[in-house]
Amino acid sequence: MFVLSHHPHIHHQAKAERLALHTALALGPMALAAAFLWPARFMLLLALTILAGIGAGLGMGRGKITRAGAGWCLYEALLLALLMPESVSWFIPALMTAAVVFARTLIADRDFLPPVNMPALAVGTSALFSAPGIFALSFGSPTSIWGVTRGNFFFLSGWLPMLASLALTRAAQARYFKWRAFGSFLLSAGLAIVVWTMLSGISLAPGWTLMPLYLAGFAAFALIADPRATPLSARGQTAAGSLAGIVFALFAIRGMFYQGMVFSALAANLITPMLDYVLAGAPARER
Amino acid sequence: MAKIFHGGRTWPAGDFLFHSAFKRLGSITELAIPVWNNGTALVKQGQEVAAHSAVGADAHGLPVFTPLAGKVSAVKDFAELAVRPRRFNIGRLTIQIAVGEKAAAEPAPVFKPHPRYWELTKDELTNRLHAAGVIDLKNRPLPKTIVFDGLDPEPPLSTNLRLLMERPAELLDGMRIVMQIHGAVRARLAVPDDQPALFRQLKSMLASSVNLHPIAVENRYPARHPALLAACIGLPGNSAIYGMETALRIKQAVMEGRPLTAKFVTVWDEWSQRRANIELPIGATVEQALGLKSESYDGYKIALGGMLSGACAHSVKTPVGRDIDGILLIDAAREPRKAPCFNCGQCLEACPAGLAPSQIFRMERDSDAARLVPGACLGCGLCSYICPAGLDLSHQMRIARNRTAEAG
Repeated sequence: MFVLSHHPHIHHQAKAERLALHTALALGPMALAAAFLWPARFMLLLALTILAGIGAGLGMGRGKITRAGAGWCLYEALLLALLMPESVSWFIPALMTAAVVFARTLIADRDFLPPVNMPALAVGTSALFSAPGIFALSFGSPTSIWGVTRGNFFFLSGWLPMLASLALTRAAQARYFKWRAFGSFLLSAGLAIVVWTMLSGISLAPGWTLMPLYLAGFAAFALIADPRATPLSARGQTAAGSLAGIVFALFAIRGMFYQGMVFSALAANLITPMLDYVLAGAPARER
Repeated sequence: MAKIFHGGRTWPAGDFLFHSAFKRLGSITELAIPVWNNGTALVKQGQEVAAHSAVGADAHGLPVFTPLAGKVSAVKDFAELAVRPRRFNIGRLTIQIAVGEKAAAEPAPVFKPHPRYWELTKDELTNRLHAAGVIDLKNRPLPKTIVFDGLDPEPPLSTNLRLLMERPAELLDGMRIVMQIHGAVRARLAVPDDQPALFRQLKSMLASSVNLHPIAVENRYPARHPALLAACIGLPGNSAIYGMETALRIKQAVMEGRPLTAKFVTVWDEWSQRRANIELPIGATVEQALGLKSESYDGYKIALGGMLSGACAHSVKTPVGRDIDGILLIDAAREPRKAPCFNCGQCLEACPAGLAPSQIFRMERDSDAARLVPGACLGCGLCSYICPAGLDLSHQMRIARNRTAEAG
């Protein structure tokens, strides 16, 4: 009996499952560093989260048309394990992983889900960067030859593994990275800072501009350019990035609140559905 | 100068058969000539028919000819169909012919050849084309601008470009006949921009032509869509569009007196790895075209057309009609596994109509998709092709389009 299906009969080789797997592999440098510093603790935690994630995915996925997929389960398990502090109880990350996978699988048929991905890592990292004490404690000596030092969180095992993971993640997601949102964020944030300093007449110390911009760029790279949380259309991405840049400038510069970039990302994410509704697929040219 | 449009996609040359010369099919013992969509049969069961004789007429009155001589074994509805819902119960009348043992290889012309076609009037030409079953130009508008389509952007279909490579002189004759009928003042021959040698050859052949010029067009799918092709070239949207095979059949009907009895198709068989461009007699079946044996083909599907726009057939007995450009036997294991949409926007970037398929997919379930103009969808299938989540966006677009059309 021949198979019957709707066209098209070929598909692009890029697949969501493969994306999840590649992103999970991209977390490898951080996982290796954590395993190096806490071999027993981290490996046990990681094993538990992976079991919980895949188990939840397989168990909940039965009978569903779309599933979380083993790649996504692995990715979320690894990420949540890395986000935990070293002193966490073993069952908390396992429960969290199972809950996330459960939620994803439960409503996967009805609509898409925002995956727990690099944004969570970026948020946590950025928040901790803003506290110099925690920064020093987490990263230890910045002169460490490999940039790997014991800290409080599994993923904060040093700047080298983290940067390597971030770079690999972006490489894995390069096809879906929304550069317009990222670029418009940087442009609008920079313009807002320049305009504010000119209008207010206050001259900012370099530390007040460079640090927020560094944090903003980091957050924008991971959060605002995330494929899931940003609009579909080019105009929507530009609008969301610009709004996020202005909100960031208001919080971080005007309010001297580093964590303001979190709110800027939230602002961009909140208006994404509206921008998609209004701008994506605006009436095509007449045929 | 190559022209492009938004979105679309280009495939590598290895996905096509541009360099595969046309072959003829081996001996055929039976034909199943379709006169579907409420066509009529002019013969009865048991009747002897000569090669190139009219055996039926399609819904528009165009005669349908048998390519080979034989005896009519049955005139009946095509039985090899899946259960059809009543709303899809359209006529599938098929004339089955048992080919005679002494079928002539090349019968004499049915009509009087007119190599000096320029001496014929427009009515004589259109009557000839109608009588030969090629095309009905008597009852349709004849714009003054014409596009001759030499593109093949959809894998693995290659007949258009292959004809242009093999028989350019005959095609140019056919084009000139068309231009004479239309009284055309401007005609363009679209040539893929990745074929510079062919373009130079055609430019040289048309150097003295006043109204017909070749133009290089990016071989990007779906450039052949009527809504896009004329705009790509810079001609009005109501320009007439003719493919290469139509031009060749027009030339054969007028200058050689031959009716339409064959079809150029691209055969792509992933089971036996057979790939070829062949000239099929009208009425040959998918089974004959693919050369299928009695082995099981579980896990495979038959698609009539291209990889992106072809429609599935469920039976190897399906006859090949004049509207089929490709016959594909595809491994169905490549069907993607579905995942949730993660808003990547690839479908929006790929859509040549500028639509947002993922939005329409989402909203169609809430019956609110009409606002996003799904009626502008070209049906190219690129959204489903490019979607990393494996969503059936093109199918949902079709549903939304039909729903919008029904709602008026």
